[in-house]
Amino acid sequence: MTRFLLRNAVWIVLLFTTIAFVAVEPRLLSVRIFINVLEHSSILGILVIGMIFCLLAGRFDLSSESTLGFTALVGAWMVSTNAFFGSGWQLPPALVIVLMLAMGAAVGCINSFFIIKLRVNAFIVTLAMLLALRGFTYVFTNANTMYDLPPSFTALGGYSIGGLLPVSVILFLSLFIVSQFVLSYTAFGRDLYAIGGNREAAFAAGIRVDRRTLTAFVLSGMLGALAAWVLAGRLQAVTINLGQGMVFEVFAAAVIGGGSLAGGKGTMMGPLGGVLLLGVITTGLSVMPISSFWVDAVRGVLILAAVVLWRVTEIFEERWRTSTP
Amino acid sequence: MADQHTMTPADGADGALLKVRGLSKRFDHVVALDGVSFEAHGNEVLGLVGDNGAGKSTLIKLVSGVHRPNAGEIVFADQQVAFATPRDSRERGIEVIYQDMALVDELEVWENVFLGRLLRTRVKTIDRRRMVAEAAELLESLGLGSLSPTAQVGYLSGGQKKAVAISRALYWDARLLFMDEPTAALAVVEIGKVLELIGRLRDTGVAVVFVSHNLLEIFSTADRIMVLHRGQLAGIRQTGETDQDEIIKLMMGVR
Repeated sequence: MTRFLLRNAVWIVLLFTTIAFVAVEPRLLSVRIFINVLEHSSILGILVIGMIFCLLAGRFDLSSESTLGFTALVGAWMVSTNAFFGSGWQLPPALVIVLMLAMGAAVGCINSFFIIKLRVNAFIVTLAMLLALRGFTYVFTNANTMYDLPPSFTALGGYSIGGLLPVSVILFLSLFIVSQFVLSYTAFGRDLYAIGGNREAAFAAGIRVDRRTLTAFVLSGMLGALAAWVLAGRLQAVTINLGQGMVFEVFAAAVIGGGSLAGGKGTMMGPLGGVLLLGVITTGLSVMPISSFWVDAVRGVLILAAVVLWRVTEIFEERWRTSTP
Repeated sequence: MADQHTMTPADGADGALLKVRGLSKRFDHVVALDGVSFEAHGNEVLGLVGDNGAGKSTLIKLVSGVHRPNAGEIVFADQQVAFATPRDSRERGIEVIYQDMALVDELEVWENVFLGRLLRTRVKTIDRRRMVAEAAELLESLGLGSLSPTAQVGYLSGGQKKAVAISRALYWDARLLFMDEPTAALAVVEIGKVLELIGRLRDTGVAVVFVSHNLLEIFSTADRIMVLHRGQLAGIRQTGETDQDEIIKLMMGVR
């Protein structure tokens, strides 16, 4: 019982946080606001999935927010009907989406090339990618905002079923379910745990470590592009700073949800709780009569608390194991 | 300097299962293995001894595809092979039980047994139920029935971990099995079990290469003894035609 509670601590904290906010501000208790939190969590959630794939393999990808910004911008440039800043090509949205995903995959390939073939630390490689892509995005647009996007392009991020349930929410929740399935029931998912847990052992056992790592980074890049598509649709426009600074939230959600920077540990459902918790705190604090600066402070404390909690859980589990052989 | 007499009863017209000629490996300027040649046969336990840094582990890693040799050739089952990865060597029937055991602490026993070769269902998802069942059966057959296939490996004792590592190598019907210090850090009872197991494997036709620091174990188990000294082959002896003094001298490079 205690074990169950500790392992699902993030959901319990989420529940109590929500109750606390609603108690202070009863107007928060509305379906519309809950859905709003989910909708705003969708972008972060999609990026977090990519990060978890990389984290499980014992690596990480700092670059996904820039992949988001870059692919959103290039996609909008290709698809925009406005010839002033757009390419004027007015490519069909379906093609543009495929190209965006391909760009995301390409970013993942480049990251992996440096990390796997040249054995550069993933932190350095993806940090460089984060900066470089952000720079390219500025150069490319001259700080123009891209709008006049065709409706079929923006539907994924902008359309709500019955005017209530956004497609992006359904997409992001189903992505979490699918990726949890991938982790639990496919050889790819299980191999990631083995690689993150003990890379030498995984290699010696015949796991294609490089190929699995490449796949994780390609998925992370493609999820960045997918998040770009959703965000462009929700905003109906693409600004140059799209996604900027999200890397911190991505890490926060992953760590709060039990992801380990050492690799080999964690699930998708924990980080989903982390994403929602961050969303609830942001929304909740924004309606409280306090300075918005508190949001970051609370997040920081939350991350530290989460790390301590997970460590305590580990210590307890160790005790349980050794006391009951 | 490297004298070889490799006549064994298993030496038939087919020759040896594994033939290694002039195998060499450098790590930067350190010569880890220098022109080593030997053969390993089915139905035989080849003891491999040598001081620390003599090249025993390097030899295993070269034959199993973890490292690529700088020179030399490896002939396995009458075919010249150049394994790029351990995956290739495992596919051909070469299994290794590593000294550091090469297990993933974060995963459960069954998953370590099937590491790198997870069984799949028809829809390509992993067949957890079958793997747990087969792991349980395997552990039972090795007299390790008390070890749960769903126990997390990180919480097992040294002996239990060793058992998992051995089970993994056995499940895949190895033709050539390297055991790097399989008895290190084990209790006496457990050592007895491992040695008995080595004998049983030999009798089923497997070629076992058994690395140990303990010459008593080597003499009680091995049919032939191969000695490495500073990366070079110091000698190969029939167990019945040598004694501990000679082997120790070979290990120390005394001639």
